[in-house]
Amino acid sequence: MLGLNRAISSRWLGVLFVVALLLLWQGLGGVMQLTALPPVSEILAVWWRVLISGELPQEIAPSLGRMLAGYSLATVCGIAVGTFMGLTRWGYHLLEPLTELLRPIPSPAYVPVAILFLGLGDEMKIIIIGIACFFPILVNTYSGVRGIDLILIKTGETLGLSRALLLRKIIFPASLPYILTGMRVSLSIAMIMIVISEMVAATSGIGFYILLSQRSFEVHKMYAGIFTLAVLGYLLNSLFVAMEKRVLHWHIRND
Amino acid sequence: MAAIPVSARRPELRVRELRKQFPAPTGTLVAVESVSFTTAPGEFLAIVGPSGCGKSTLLQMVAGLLLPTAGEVTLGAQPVTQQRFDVIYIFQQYTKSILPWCTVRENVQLGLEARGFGRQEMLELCREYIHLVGLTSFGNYYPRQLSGGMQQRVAIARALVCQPKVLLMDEPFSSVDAVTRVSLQELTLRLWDQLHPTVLFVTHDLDEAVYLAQRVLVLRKSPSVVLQEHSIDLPYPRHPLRTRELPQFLAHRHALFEAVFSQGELPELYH
Repeated sequence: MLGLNRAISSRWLGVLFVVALLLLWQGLGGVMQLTALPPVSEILAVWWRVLISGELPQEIAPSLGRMLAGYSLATVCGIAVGTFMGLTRWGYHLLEPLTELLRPIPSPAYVPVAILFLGLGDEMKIIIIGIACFFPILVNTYSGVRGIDLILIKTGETLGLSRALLLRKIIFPASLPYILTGMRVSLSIAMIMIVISEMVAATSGIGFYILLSQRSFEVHKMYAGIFTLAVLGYLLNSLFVAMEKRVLHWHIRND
Repeated sequence: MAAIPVSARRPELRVRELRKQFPAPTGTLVAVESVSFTTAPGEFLAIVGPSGCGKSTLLQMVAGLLLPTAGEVTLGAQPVTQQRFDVIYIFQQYTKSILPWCTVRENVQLGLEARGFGRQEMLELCREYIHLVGLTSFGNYYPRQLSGGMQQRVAIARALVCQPKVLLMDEPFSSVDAVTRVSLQELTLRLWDQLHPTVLFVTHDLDEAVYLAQRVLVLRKSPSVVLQEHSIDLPYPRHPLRTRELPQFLAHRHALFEAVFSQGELPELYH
């Protein structure tokens, strides 16, 4: 009886916990009457209102656009450079020290530099996101490519595959599990960087919206922006995991 | 009924003074000292020797997958490295050589794509060769859904569909169970009889060498040289049981056994 209960409820335990915390917030907000902590029901009401009025969606769209641009840039460059580093000894020796030097720099540190070169526009944000997302993809790609079993490569060679075919048919798919791991890490980094860059310099976007709401004492809207980020992050990650499962159906995950 | 075609299309494979040494902590390690041999077109040649005698190294050099330190391999008039489409290597480790992200058909198709076949042509050839190795209804299966023996069949189909003049098999059946091994041996002989490529078959199983081949080379322990050469005069088609019970079969196996084990593999037996 107890075991059955546990089996049914444990699935929803996490969801219930979130609901409980929101209720606690609701209670605290009502009792304390702080400007900084409005009751959650009021926030949800405002969230709904700005969602259907289009006020919030019109901030989400540019953020998503910039993220997508920067993230795609990072993916293409990361896979290309990573494959190059993984396949050639000299490429690896040429770029590995530089990679290890640049990688530890927290990406927000690049923001002032990017503003100097690119101004306050979209290019700056795209480049910032690109740089931040580049390194996890790069590092995972080249460790994936370097880890490919030699027998797999030789199989391609003995079947007469050209270099292009070898890349497309063997090297790329074989390192795909690693590449996707890097891309998943970068996805959350992209979220972080879009918010940071929009808070520093922007006239649109979800980061801008959160900061502006706070500055104009529209605390409800500020929280609505943050809630939006949570939902957006969750959706993007779920989408990614579903895509990964489809693409890597042949791959047995160890984790 | 031996399948020895006299077609000029199938040139002879000539291995001349092939040598391979590797850098080692203490100077150089000579894996293959100097190996020479020639195969007739369409011949089935087995190569045996003690473990670690450089058989795989030798075979990979023949395939052009490994650069020799000295010597050369020619197929007909030209070095083998310039005729990569004519020589195909089958690895012992099928789990590493079959692409897990490709279906059986996509695996078999790989070499055809490299050779620029059209879509329809590829489809037909794949169907034919998948059928030939007995995997008819498994074209859309993924390797993980197949047993080890079936995966090695995929590797055989993938090689043969390219119509290679030379097929190099590196201990192809040493990681499957005994029953599967017998059926793969039968498959190999049947396909050789049908398609007559030249086959170089490396194995440490003397029984297998005598059963399959027309000729067996015995390699010396590393650094390897060709120690002996045995012609196996058993008629084809061979029978998995009856051939193995023939007095000539046993005599050949006996001679090979002595040749291999006199090299100190079983010192208590010979000293």
